[in-house]
Amino acid sequence: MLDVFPSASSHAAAAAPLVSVQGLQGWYGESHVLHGVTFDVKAGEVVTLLGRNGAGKTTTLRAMIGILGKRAGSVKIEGRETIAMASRHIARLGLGYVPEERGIFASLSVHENLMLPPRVKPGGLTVQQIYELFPNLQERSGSQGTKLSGGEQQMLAIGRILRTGAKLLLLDEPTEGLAPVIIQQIGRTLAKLKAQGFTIVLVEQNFRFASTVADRHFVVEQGRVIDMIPNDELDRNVEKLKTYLGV
Amino acid sequence: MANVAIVASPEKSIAMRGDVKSLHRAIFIAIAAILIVAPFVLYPVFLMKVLCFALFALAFNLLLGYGGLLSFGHAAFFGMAGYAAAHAAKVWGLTPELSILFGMLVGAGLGLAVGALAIRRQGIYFSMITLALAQMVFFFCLQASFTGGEDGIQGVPRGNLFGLVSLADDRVMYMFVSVVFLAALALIYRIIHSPFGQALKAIRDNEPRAISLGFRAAQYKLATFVLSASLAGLAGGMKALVFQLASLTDVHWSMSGEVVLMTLVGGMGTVFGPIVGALVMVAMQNYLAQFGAWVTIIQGVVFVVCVLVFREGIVGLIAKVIRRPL
Amino acid sequence: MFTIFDIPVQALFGQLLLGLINGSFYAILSLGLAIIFGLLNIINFSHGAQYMMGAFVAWMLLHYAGIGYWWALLLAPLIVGISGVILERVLLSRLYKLDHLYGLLLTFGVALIVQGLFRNEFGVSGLPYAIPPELTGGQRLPFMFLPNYRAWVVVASLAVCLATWLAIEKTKLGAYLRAATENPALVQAFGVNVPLLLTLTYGFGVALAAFAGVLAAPVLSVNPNMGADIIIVVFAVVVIGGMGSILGAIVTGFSLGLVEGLTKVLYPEASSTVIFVIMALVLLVKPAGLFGRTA
Repeated sequence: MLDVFPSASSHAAAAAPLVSVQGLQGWYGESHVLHGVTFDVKAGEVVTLLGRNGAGKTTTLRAMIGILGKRAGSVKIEGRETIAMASRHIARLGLGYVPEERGIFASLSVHENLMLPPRVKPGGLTVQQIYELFPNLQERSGSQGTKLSGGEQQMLAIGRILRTGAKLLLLDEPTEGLAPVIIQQIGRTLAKLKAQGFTIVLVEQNFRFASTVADRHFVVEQGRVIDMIPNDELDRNVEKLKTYLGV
Repeated sequence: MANVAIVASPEKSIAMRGDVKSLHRAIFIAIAAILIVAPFVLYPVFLMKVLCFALFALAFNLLLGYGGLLSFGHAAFFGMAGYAAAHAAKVWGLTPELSILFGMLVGAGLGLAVGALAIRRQGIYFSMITLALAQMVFFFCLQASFTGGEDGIQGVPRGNLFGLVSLADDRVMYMFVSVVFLAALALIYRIIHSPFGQALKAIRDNEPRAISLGFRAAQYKLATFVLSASLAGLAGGMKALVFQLASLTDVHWSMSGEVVLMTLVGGMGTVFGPIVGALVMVAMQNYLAQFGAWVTIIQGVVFVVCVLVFREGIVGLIAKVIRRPL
Repeated sequence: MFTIFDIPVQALFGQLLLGLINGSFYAILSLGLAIIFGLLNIINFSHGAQYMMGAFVAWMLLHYAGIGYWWALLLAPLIVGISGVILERVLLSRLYKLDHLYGLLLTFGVALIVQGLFRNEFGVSGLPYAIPPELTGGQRLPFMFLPNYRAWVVVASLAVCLATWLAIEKTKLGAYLRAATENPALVQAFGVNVPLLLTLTYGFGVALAAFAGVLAAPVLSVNPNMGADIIIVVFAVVVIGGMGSILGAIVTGFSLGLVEGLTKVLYPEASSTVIFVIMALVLLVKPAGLFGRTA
């Protein structure tokens, strides 16, 4: 299989975390949804936000990328405070966001969707490399974006972020509603990205999937982080997790 | 559609709080008192102009502030009713109350036709449709023979009220107009605070939810539209008799714009706002008439300023300060 | 001389050509309105006033600076477009978080101000603007006399409309516009400066209106009321066509102009209202508009 990524760099064992979220508060209009989310992510780490529906996981990602209307607290990216920054400036710090609904534009072709996000940092993949990673996209590059299947749209949503050179990825439920074969493919892609030194914050309900790539898991409930479980302790804590997730 | 009437303080129950009711009653009495005293201080014709436009604005606000529908063609009902009343009085020789009633009916009928079409679209499209249909009415009035084209219908006789009392004297006419105005204001007030009014507000604030609760939104909107058009027709018919003239100005789109401005300045979604708005705008026009085109410019500036920093309008601001709905 | 429906062929085609010219203006103006509405969600009531400004700037360039028609075609849209950019930055952008209606009211107010200012300065009677010498005269066709300038108006309008359509559908900038129309928050989250895009789009829409104004100057008289007269008809055009599609706006504009022209020949009294009547019919039959998606 072609190795489409440039030569691997070692995991950065940085002293200071790449991302530091402290006491993050968030509101949808009048509704107070985040009540002080606190967690951190080291460079090269993959962490997941686990929790039930409505716990505030998606809202946390939205707050981090800056598209949540009202937020307070602290979100530091590489030491820079971003809580008051506009989303377009946050993105330019090197963040890539893949929303839960994937956000594929219906009025754009697959190729246009792929090319849309601008380069925010050097070192992003080329279009050719992305097509090698996700061959389906090349076949369908002229089609309207939303004519793709769910799995293909997910690949497109991830692929276009990889083009930008962003090294910190926020992925919201990338496996939701997808067939097991596709889920495996996404898992392999995430593993490759991790091997290349990407830092990933993953929102997932499927903690089995998450455990294949993640280093740590943060449990979110009612707008707060209530627990952290290292990946190698996951098996010991399955029952506790199941209670948290209401499964 | 989002809540346009940003100042209407939420009335949490159908029955209003007692202190608000007595406040409104006091205001009503105050208005009546002012109307009795005013003609000794100001010219009756000026006052009648204010009252007619105030009624026009009140009718318009019923649709905008409470229905959440911005009609940009309300002049069609106002002006067409004026033509109808003028024609009835001058050509058919009807007594004034019948002429005005006829004007009102014409306004209602036109309102039904326009409303039925406009309601098929929401929001911005609704406004554009009302504007376009009103323009059609304008062109009709321009070309039809009975409207007298550019000259309009002139020399409209005021006639004898109920065949008994001559309205030729401005003071007598003023008394008639005041009584009609107060009655209409009371009617509008009752409508707003009735179950119908509550349903209307529910539809305005969240139409899908209201529909899921069983309200037939389209029927409510149409009913409000026809009511609003009828009352605008009442205002237009009266104005035609007051000035003894029905003209193209009253069906022109700029007249539609003026009533919007009056409501905006006075306070959308307040009961008494349009009255204040009409007073301000008519007074301003009278004062600025000597400056010609500057009136348009100043109106434009007032629009811009109000939309940017003064959306609640004069009465809306007062309501905010005293923390009672007005 | 032949007649069709008892109308001399010359007269028929002459009116149809005039209808096509009006249709050109309807197309360009409804195109501008649709683009602005699609992205900014605001109905630009000042569109008519900006069209009028285009005509006046062309006139002023000629009479105060001796700058002729061809430069005016470039400069007037630029100047008026910049005024639009200023308007958006200073006033309009404050309304994006509010109900659409406020945008309509604000731009209505601006239209009143602009119209009033020009009326103050220039009065209500029209100012003449000469057809540029390169386009005077015409072609003798078998069924009509085709004035060169009028043919130019139709060709130029078509060209501009098609160029705009191409720019939106086929270029990267157009992709940004289409994406931002669909989901502005996400496009910003990618790092794109969406507020700037909004400003430039408004400026472009306004420039289109001004361009139509320059085209109109030699054909209609340059007067302060020309904007108000046409904008209401353009609203009807936009309701008929639906604002969902760029191509739809163009086709509807040209077609309705033709219909209006035809009506003027066959049933003149109805010509000023035929478009409104069509609007009423479309509302009864297909409320979303001929090319529209859901309301």
